[in-house]
Amino acid sequence: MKLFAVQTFFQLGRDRSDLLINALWEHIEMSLISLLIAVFIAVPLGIFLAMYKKGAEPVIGTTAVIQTIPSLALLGFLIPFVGIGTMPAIIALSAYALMPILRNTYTGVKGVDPALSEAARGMGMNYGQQLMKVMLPLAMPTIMAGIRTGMVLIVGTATLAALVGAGGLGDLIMTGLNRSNNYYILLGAIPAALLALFFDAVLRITERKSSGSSITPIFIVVLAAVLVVATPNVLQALNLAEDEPEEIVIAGKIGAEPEIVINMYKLLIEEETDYEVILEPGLGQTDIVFQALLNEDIDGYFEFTGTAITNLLNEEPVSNDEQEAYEQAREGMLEEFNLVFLEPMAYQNTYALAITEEMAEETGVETISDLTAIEDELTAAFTFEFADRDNDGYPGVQEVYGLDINDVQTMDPGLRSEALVAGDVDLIDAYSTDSYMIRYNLVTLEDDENLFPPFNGAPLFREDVLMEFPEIENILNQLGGRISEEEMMEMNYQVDVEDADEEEVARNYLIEAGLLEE
Amino acid sequence: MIEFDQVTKQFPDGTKAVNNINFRVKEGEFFVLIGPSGCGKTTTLKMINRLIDASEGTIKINDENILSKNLHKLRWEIGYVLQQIALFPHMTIAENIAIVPELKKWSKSDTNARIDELLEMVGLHPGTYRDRLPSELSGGQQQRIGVVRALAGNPDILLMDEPFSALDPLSRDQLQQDVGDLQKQIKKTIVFVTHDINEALLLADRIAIMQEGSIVQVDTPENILDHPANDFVRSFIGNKTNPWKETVEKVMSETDAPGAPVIPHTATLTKAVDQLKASEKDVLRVLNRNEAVGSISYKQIVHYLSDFEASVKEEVQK
Repeated sequence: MKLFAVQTFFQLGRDRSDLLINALWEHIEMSLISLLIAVFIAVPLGIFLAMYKKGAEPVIGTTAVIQTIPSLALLGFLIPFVGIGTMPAIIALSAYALMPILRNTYTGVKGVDPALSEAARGMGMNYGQQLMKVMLPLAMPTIMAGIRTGMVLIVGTATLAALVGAGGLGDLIMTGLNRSNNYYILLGAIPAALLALFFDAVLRITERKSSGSSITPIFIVVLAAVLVVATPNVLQALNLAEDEPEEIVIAGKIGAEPEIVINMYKLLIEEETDYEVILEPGLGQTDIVFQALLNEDIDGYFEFTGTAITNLLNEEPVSNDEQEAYEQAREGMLEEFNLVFLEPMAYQNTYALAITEEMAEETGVETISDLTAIEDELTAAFTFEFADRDNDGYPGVQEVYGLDINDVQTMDPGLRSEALVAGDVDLIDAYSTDSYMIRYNLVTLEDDENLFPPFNGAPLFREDVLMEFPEIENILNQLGGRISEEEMMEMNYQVDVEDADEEEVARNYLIEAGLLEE
Repeated sequence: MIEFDQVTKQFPDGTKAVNNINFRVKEGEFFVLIGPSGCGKTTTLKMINRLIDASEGTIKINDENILSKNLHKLRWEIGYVLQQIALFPHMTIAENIAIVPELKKWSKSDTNARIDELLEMVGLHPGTYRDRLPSELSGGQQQRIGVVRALAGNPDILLMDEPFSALDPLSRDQLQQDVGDLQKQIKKTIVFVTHDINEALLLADRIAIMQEGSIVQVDTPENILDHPANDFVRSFIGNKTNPWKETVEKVMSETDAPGAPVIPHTATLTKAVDQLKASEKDVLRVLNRNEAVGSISYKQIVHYLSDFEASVKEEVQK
């Protein structure tokens, strides 16, 4: 069994080697840039603070405060200011590494025996010479220890950067979490750990080589890091000079379904125009991707009507009729945000409450109302988003059904179906088209009070984008009214469970539907 | 050579570490600043290489105000030996010694030759010691390197701040002897801070005794012993006798020296040496009321003086 698992893991590594190498490279690049920035800020600042002493504690204290901000919160906080992608990731990662490097530099330089610095001055060294010949070499072991700590922090935290579209090994981990696939998680986590060990070894060797009067090896390593980071970017910049077709950036939230759908958008647009479509799949949850759209980091993404009404517009749904809900969402988004909601597809991916088949048989529960009878014995696992959504989330359920579940836990979307199947919880919130509905034979409870608004998926674009590229409106409206719930569930299953490529799944559907030629 | 003119150092909190002092150090002189802790002797020393700047008054080297010189160049020409030795632990012995020559942009070969020369001078074999780290040397060897490092740039002036106080008695004894010899050999102007009167008497050409920021007396060791300026000096030097004030009777041998120039038995050794020089003879006949009681020679005087030195050194060790 174990051997089988190891084989599966390596098989996945081979099959996905392109993905892995790309993610690894993104991870290295992001980590190195962040580390270099942190070093270039924290080391000179630490030296300055150590020499002038005043103000050291407040400054170091500030970096310590930054350290206490949860990394995801910091990433999310940065998006309105710097947008999505590598930029917020690098800023956040640099900020995290500041504290250990600054503190160690300060301690190291301050800890140099005053007699030695007096000797250096008395012998007629100027400030620079004192620093390079005496202070830095003596403080170097402490400074390097700080840099190594900062580096491990960066490489570890960089896995979260996937949530803001920065890519890296976190992409693989998020995919794994989302699909409840441990091999993907390991495919991201193991290289991340090895990367941390590798960087640590490089820094340790550098430190050993530089113990002595010379700190040249440090400069060589810094230079090498700068080159590694700069070369591809310079090459890219040179390539950019050439004429490129116009680009449209389309994003999707985390998960198989948005990624399949936006691949369909890409295939259709590129089939019928010369535009190049760049996809940003897995861009976190609603807040992050919506903010990215408003920031013009992306041009459009795949959104649901229900989410637009209750979450983005913060309105009550006027009706449970799909068409009326769509009208409400379309008008609201246009008025409030100058965003255009194109025609929605047929299937609904509504929120649902789901239980296992066995439990349904045991308790005879069929509707959400039925739950109130057994609410004192229930344990539920909800996503953070569901637990928080006023109108169509758990607060809404409490209000409309008078349901008061004994124990509610919040967890990542990818984990809650596992928790349900493992018997840790009795009830979860589910998306009706998610693959685990098939995989685990889950039963959805009827929304007998019609609480959940219709959730039809549709492209959401900025108005100015559609003015610039008017053709894409008609192209994407071809998907309007298509794709049934069963078809979507099947496609999700192919990706999540059978590990099919999202683009292939999208292409097959479009060909079958006659929208794309073979 | 070095001249302090009404120099005062006042710290920001208002305390005066040095209060209106005046003195001159002559070229090639071994000048000792001494006094109890807190008397301002180290502050005075550090004002010479401007590790501390005077608040009032002027300090001149070779008639030039030190404030008008480039700070770094000034320090290159003033060797500095610290109480804490303060060799740079991450540099080899050769690298430590090479610092000032490199700052002065000497050629590699000149610097290397200088390192070897100086190591030989203090009895450390260059081949063995050049590439060692300071931590591999004993305390006494380390301070030898400290002295060598200060001399490396061939400065005119050497400042030594209680250089032997951190050493064990045996190393201290040896280094005092060596520095005394070195001084005769290389003829540098040395300003030396100590709180140990025996060390001062042993090494100094002249001694400046300081008390609470002021100089109480500046004079040769003999004159200080003979004519202490006040009770403070008297108590500070303790119960010391000046060997040169010893009578001839105490030092002479009882063998007669007929025909030699005569000297009374109560005359001092100083007097005896003066008379020996004047008469260009090696020996004097000692008379007590016109009766010969013995003779005294150069050899006996030198022997007596060196015995005295040894006894002083013994006290230093205690």
